Parts: sequence; C-alpha cells; structure tokens
Amino acid sequence: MKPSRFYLFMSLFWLAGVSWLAVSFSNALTDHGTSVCFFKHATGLACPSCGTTRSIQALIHGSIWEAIQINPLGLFGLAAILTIPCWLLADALSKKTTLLSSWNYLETNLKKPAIFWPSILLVLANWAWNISKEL
Amino acid sequence: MNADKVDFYLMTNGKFFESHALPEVRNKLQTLDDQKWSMLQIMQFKDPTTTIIISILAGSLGIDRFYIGDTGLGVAKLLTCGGLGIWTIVDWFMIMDAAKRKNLETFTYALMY
Repeated sequence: MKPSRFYLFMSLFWLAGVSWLAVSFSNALTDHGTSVCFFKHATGLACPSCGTTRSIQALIHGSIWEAIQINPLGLFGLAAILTIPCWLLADALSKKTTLLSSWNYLETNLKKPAIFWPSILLVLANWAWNISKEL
Repeated sequence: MNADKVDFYLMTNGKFFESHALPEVRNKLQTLDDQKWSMLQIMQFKDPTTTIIISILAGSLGIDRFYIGDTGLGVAKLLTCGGLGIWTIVDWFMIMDAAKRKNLETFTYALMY
C-alpha cells in the first residue's frame, strides 16, 4: 500500500472509530439494541467483534473485568484508539513512516502459519464465547 | 518475448489486471526473456470474481481481505464488525480493483528475480 493511501486510511479508520464511540455514548444507540453488524442482522448470531463498543465503554468507566467479560477485544480497540492518533502525529512531525513499517512487519508476521493459525483459533474461541453470551 | 506469446498471455490473464495496467504488463512481457515463460504460466493470481463473491458473502468478517493477502486489513475488518458495516459496503465496490492491484504487485514482484 502506498504511504499516502495508508495514512489516509488510518486517519479515516481512527476518525470513524472515535465518531462511533461518541455516538454510542451520546445517543445511547447500543442501549436500544441498535447494531450496525451485518452478520448479526443476517444470522441473528453475534459476530467475533460484537460487544467491542460496550467493552470500551466499560473500560472508560474503569471496569476492566466487566470489559473483559463483555469482549476482550475491547482492550485492543481502546489501545488502538489511544495509540493511533499519537503515532500518526509523531510520524507527521518527524516525516517518517514508522506506523507503515510496523504495519508491514505485523502483516508479514501474521501470515506465518505459526502465528496465523493460533490467532485464528483465539478469534474463533472468542467468537464461540460471544455466541454463548448472546451478545 | 515474442508478440504471439505476449498476446496469448494477455488474452488468458488480462482479466486479473486493471485495464489501465495492461500496457505496463505488455511492456514488461515484451522485454522479458523467453526462459521466464514457464514461470509466468505457473504464476497464481487471485480471481476478482471469486473475491467479489467472498466479499458479498463474508465481507463483514474480513475474509475477502484475507483472501487477497491484505492480512492486516482483514484483521482490522474482522475486529470492527466489517468497519461498522460501512467498510463492508465500500469493499463491495472496491475489492475487485484491490484484487487486481494485488495481482499486478505479484506479477511485478515475481519478474524482479
């Protein structure tokens, strides 16, 4: 991916995440059971990332255990929301592409079967847990 | 490489590349050594039609991105409910071109050696 395209994507990705979080806090859409998840609407089952918003909300309120109980992916979500803007800003100021290099490094390593399959198994296990919790 | 082989290759594999990339592919093939013909024949490309079918059926889980080799984006899509559903819809229109761009990358990368 070209650096300009990657940085534009990451900025939009972060902006969309923060906007969704702001909407979920202010409008309490999720309290009314409103979901944007295609998979959930199509099958009635939770998807691997269902509950991430609620998990991040719990984390912001300081309930780490509750967040893990809802969906552990919320921890990664909040970490990404906090890290990405700082990293983007640091790269913009230093005129380096460390975020892109790290992304490429992560992508190369994720493709290795020794990392890829255990990760997929973890996601599947979490997904099964999500379905059993009826998120 | 002679013109017949180049034309034959473009006829059979042209669908794997974006139309504006075809002149570039043609130029590369024309300057290529004949010995690399067998390597070109076994080169594996991602079919854009298969990609769009995967995108429609399992795009919200990021499987389409995994399929074309964008593992990082696949993970991002999987862990965000398909980018809150928006990215899923955007990808229905973008994924074929993304697959074709990946094919061009594969083609260019393979011919470097």
